[in-house]
Amino acid sequence: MATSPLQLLHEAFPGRAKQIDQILGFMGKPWAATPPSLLINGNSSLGKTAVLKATLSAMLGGGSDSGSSSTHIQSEQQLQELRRRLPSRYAFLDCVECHTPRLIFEHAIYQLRNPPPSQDKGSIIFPSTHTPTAGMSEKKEATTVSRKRKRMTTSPLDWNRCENVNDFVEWCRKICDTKDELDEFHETHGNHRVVSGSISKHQNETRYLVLDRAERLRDTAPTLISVLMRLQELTGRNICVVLITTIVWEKFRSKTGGYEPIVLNFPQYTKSETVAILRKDLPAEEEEDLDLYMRFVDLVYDVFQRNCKDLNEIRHLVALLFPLYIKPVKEGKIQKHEGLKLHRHIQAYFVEAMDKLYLREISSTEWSDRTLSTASGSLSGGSGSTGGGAGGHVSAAPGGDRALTTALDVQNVFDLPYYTKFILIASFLASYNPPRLDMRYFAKVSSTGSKMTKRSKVAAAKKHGHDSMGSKLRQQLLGPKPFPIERMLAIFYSILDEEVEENVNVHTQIASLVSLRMLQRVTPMDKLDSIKCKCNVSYEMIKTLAKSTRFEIDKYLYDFS
Amino acid sequence: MEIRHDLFNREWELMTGRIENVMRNMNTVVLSAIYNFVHNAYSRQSSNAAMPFLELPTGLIFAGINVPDHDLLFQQIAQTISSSVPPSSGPLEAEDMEPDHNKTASASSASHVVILQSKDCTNLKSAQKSMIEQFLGLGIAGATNPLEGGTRLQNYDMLVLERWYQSLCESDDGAGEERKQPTLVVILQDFESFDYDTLQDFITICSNYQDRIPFVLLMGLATSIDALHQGLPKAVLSRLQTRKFQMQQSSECLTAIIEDLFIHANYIVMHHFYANPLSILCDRSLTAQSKALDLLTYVEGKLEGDPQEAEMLILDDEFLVQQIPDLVQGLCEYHQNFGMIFDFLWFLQTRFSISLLKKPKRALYFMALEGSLINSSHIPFLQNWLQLFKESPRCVPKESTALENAMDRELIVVQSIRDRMGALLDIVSEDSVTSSSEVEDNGEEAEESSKTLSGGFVKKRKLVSLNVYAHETDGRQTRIAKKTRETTRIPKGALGAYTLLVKEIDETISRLFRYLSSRGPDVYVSTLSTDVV
Repeated sequence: MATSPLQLLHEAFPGRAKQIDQILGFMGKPWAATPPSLLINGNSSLGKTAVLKATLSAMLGGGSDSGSSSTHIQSEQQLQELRRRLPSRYAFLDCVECHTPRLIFEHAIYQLRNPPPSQDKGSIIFPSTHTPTAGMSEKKEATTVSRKRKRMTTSPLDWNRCENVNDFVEWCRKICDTKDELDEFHETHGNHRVVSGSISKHQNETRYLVLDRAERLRDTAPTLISVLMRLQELTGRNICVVLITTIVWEKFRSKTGGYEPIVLNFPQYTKSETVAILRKDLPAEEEEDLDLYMRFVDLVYDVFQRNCKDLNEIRHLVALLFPLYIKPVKEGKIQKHEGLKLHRHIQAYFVEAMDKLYLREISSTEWSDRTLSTASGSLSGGSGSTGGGAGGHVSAAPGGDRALTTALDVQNVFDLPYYTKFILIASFLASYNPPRLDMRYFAKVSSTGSKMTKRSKVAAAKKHGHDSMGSKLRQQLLGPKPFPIERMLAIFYSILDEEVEENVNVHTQIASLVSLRMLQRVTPMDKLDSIKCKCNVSYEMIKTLAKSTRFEIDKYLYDFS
Repeated sequence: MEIRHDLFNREWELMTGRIENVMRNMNTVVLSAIYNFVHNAYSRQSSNAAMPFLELPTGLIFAGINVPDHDLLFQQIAQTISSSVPPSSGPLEAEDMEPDHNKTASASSASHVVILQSKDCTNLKSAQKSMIEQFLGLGIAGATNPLEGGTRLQNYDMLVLERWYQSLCESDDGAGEERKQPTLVVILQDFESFDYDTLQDFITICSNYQDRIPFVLLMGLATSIDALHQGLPKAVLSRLQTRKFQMQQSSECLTAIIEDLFIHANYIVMHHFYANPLSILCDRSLTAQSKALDLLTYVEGKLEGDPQEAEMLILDDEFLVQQIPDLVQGLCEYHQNFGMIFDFLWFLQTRFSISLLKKPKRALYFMALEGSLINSSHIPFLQNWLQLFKESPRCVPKESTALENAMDRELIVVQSIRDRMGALLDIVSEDSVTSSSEVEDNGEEAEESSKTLSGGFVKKRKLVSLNVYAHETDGRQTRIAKKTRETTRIPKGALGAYTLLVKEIDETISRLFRYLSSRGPDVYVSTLSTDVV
């Protein structure tokens, strides 16, 4: 064995060595007493979950090695085997998935009473891990394998009902007290008593209860947090609760001061750490392009780090953009060392990526489909920009891409029934125009508008003072204002050329617009009178709608650009 | 009355079946695309190893604003996906998939599909519950239901699903290891109405379980992609690997239905029958006598129209029974003709590039039914355009060159013989293609005796079809079965002939319209009902 598990871990998580050491330090020997609770916090995608999971599975899950204490290979293997077979020493719960206390309890008990989920070595070595969340850490190929293995080891269902904290505490005691071969193993190998001398009672291995995305606990079970913090105390057993969260502990605190966990912060990755992580993403078959890849990673980091600190996003971008970067090299159009040319070639894509990809306006598959299909177009675009000079490259975005973009835009257009369009336009006007100006815009000389004018007069009188105060801020920037349905209807009838009866259809349309979330109801559902709504549609969309109905929206909008 | 009701039900079923058929056919291309997407979602991913982490394959289905249709649509989608055979219009997927791939896809067990509607998913618990229950309900016979095992797993626990899936895979194992794992497809039918917070958690959970259960999401969006971006935060969005599918617009749907149902089918005949009490006669097993009472009331209303006949009808059932097939035949015939003329009108309309003229088919049809089509400005307008053609033949080439390609394509589809006229127009004006035209003389008939150009066509067209068409034209114009036909050849390329043709076309058209106006559907129907009585 060339490397110890510790080294493996360190290798798998660049820039996280310190944290791993800290966690291992808290864990100590498998049977050692631990702090009652631990809180790991840090921004998303800093490897919190992955590190903890890998560490636990390496140390306790029989993943690769059992720890450094044993020197005998044979006993080591034996230990590993035991760990794989025997009930897990840790439970890993996702608080999004376990959205009721009962689910938390039952999942925890289930996991602690069953063998640990098999972890393939792949999942440790390849850090497909720095994910914001738990589940994605396993490699795809591992999926089927692990499923098969699980199938073999699946014990008969023993699911235990556990509905409240009392039961849970009881269960924890029971679980911790079950002495199995593993504990016996420790005992026979001797090095047990020496450490746990302070506790007279015989003590089994520490159990860990890990709660990922613990911030959700505050909603699902606010009282549970303080219980979990004191779980060791309550059970009187060696059990350690680990919370993983993106927020600071202060936000967890309830009024009555509970136990404080030990806080372990995962700091932001530095540039070199980021690059080191990205280095691992390079597919093995392109190993010879390592130089180029590293240069590219450097570039991407410099370009995007101002907008995006999220490691996953950068990895995402790198994975999708690198094939494009390397393409001209592979096709022999640009030499490897011509960095500037390559830079220019890729820049157009950077702009595009910043626009679309980062916002997920197009997904990764669409992006890769595009880049595949527009291969020739992109090349010509790229070389064109190379000759084009400084300003050229942005505008010289590949023609194919443009075409596709417009195709997507076309897709986004959808049609509404004719009158519904007008209802939507009217509500947009009602949302963005101050009511006092309704007279100016919509009053008709004829008597048809009289119904409206009365109402709007009242409304205008009410709102006038308020508006004059805040009129320095344009409504466009403030967002839509709620409006009474009646006002919108008045506008609706006034902007329509023809006479429409006010009947139930109009109201049905309003309701369906609400269900499509184009209108937002502000008043609560139980209030049936004087409903107020907001228009939840962007200006661009209204503009296209207005265009399709040949309605000049700009003439009616106040202070809009 | 009961009989009528039964009849109505039977016919109605037929009709809805037909409508559904139309809608299904309209979406076949999209459906097969979705099918491919679902079935390749996971195989494709393994090939795309460069991605740093798993993304949940998600199809965004832009189903249009017409929410009531969606039930049917999504059931259709579910059906398509869960069947192990790709939808029939096959050329698309044959290209997409590699051959060996194709084999595995067809060999693999079908995906399991559930449809979630927002009304089932008010909170996370109910959403999960509904999904899991639906999946378990779908479970194939071999799979054991973990809920039956007497355990106390809660029915919204994802572990239930995981276990179920495992047992599903196990039961599949017998068939061979190479088999693709079935995917679980979750359809979120009305994305906009979902509670977004619930949805976020739901998607997160699904993507957490993705390494164990291959999920595919399909979201039905009624509006635009903005809804997706408004509803979900970035953290969730970044877990989705979206792909867009555009369903047919509802207006197109409507057009297709109208076309299929009313213009090309005889269902309108049925419709008219159901509108009046005589509909029982549809069922020939019944004698008119049995419903004499109904008849009587009906007849009374019509007495003034044709007292003698009415009297006869009441008194003589035999006569009535005799009459009916003829009348029905007449109506059918009329309808066929109407359909053809209508097609032609439509075709004519599409030929002109001015957008002002373009009216959707449904509007045209509506007008026709109201009887206002003939009197509307629409037709004169079209005629004016034709006039333009006539007066300045030189401008035609310019117009028609642009249109020729489109027309040639359309010609194959459009059935009306009048379209051939259009083709001829082009061909003649282009002077490039050998054309033959057929001029038909049905001069024997007095009212419409003038020389009628019945059609021109490219030589490759079969003569048989020509005859059929010519025959139909006769039927349309004169409605008399016996015809004499005479074919003359027009020398190709002659401008004079061309002008002649245009003139003839114009004449024919105006005659057609005259015919239409004299025998609008309403007129005809009313005559029919009068006749019947």
